[in-house]
Amino acid sequence: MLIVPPPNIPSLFRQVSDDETALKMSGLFGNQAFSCRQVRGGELFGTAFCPRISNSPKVDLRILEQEYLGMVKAMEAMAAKFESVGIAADITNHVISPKDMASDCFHPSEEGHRKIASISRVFSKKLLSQSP
Amino acid sequence: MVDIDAQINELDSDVNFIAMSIGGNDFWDLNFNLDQFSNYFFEILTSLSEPLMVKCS
Repeated sequence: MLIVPPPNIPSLFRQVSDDETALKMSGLFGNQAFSCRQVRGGELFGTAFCPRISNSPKVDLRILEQEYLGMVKAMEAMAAKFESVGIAADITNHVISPKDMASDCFHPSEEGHRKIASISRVFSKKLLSQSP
Repeated sequence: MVDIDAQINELDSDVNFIAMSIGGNDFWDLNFNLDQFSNYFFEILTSLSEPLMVKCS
């Protein structure tokens, strides 16, 4: 069984924190464009899209990234106790870029899904080659 | 471009293989707590891996 943790989203948001147009939505709501900060903050849908990161820049993304890395480490340690479980913890080292994000500024785009699938594939082959 | 079908065919068909994505929704929750998540994750692994191990043995 292969567990795939989420990609390093806090790192992505840190990359684009000074670039409001990096993940801009456009064309979905007429010709008006919205920044991801507006989307996450609830200006578009009336409710904060993802409360844990929606009020950035108040949120310290560096701390959030450390917590994220801590979570994956904990998952890795836990998975090591099970013979039939592998965890693709290496996903934390892969750079997620703005083009990997869907227009909701959070979920993976088609390209992002392909990247996650590719990471999963490489790890699954490694996992299978190690199985008895 | 990645050919998903070709990749699946590459995998050994004799191996029971499940890929799961865990942690995304939990981590973004305002009430995320690492200890609670670890316990929850352990329960998931236990419930999923035991049947698999029995099946494989």
